[in-house]
Amino acid sequence: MTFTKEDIPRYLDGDMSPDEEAAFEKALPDNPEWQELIALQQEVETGLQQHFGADETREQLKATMQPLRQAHFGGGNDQQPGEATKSGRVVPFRKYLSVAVAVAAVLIVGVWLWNPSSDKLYEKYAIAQMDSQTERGSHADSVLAAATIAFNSKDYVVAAVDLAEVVQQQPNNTYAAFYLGVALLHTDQLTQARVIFEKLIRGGSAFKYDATFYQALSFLKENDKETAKDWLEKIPADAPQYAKAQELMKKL
Amino acid sequence: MISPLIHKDHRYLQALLDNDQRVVSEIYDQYAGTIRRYILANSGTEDDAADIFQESLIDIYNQAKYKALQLTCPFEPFLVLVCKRKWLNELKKRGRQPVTKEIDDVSIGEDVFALAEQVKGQQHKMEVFLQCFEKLGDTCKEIIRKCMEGGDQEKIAAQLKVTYGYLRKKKSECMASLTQMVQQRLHQ
Repeated sequence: MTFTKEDIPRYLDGDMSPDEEAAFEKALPDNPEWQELIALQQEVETGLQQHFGADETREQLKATMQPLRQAHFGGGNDQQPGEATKSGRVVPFRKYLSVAVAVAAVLIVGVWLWNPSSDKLYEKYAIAQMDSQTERGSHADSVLAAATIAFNSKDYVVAAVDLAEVVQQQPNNTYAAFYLGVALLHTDQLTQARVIFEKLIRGGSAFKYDATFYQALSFLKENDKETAKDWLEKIPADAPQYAKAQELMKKL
Repeated sequence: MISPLIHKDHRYLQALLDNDQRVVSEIYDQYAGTIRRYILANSGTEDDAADIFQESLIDIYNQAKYKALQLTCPFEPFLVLVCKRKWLNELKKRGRQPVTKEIDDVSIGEDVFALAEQVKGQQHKMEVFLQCFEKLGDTCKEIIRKCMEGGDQEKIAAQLKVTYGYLRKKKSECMASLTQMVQQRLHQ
């Protein structure tokens, strides 16, 4: 039996006799082009089923989101993309706000009770601002500018995403790498932050001792004062960060 | 490489899958503000921000449900990246932004990028599928749409006043030409 790719639809629809199907499957390994078409057609079919098929949970989820959308975003268009939903009570924004404030207060007190000293010290010493750089017009420059604004408004997640893009395009940009580390540290991605700091420390960049200092802070954030001290001790007396490091070490 | 370890934040994906109202509300409380600020700072409106946030969550829901997406990184940077990609794509469509370079490999937070890339890739494919679908003839569109909605094919044949055999043959042909169109578009 010989086949062409025109036989693929019959195969996919199960319209072949068992013998024919077996022969077709035997011929498949020698025809990567058919395999690609079969996989693609199955993907298209699943995709369209997902799009046109009814998904009750998805509709319910959209209904859940409708009042949340109104509470968290301004703007006049309360119609949601795709379909409108009927259910969903509008909860006044003030109510959300008061709940949010209460939750925040509990969290702040909770964190403070859990670990007053390390946390306060971390907050005190982890303050950093990015300097705005002159834009030279490249894409990476504009991303860096956006990152600077986000970083300085303490939107560390957005800053981290932007800075990661800069670092990806400019692997030797230690300035961006250092602040990416700090942004990751602020968003509790300690492991990733440390990978970056270690690279800066080992590479002997201009940010070597800034990175060392923040490496220490990353351990302080976990209340691991001993490891934090170990890192602070690595900062030599002639480094600009020495005084700050000594001062912090005395408080630990 | 995506690490096989599922992050504890996978609970947010589970909440979307379960329509867990309490946790979905938590997602808005925690992350809507960040996305809102980002979109507003990048030439978007409040409505744009609300749309992008909601559509991104639905994309993530679809990925989790139909492609078994598992979260191997924290939820927040992942969500930010999905929203950001979606917004840049939207800006591009509106002709307001030069083409941005794609991030294809990054050594930092690679899980986040890999997962966001996965979501964006699927979303792009879906757009191609639907654009090609729209180019089909009316008969093909009707047959495919009805078959994809689910339900008994014999009943569909009766509704369309054709025989069951004709419906199957036609659906087969329509899917084959749709697939070929998609293949050409993806290889462009």
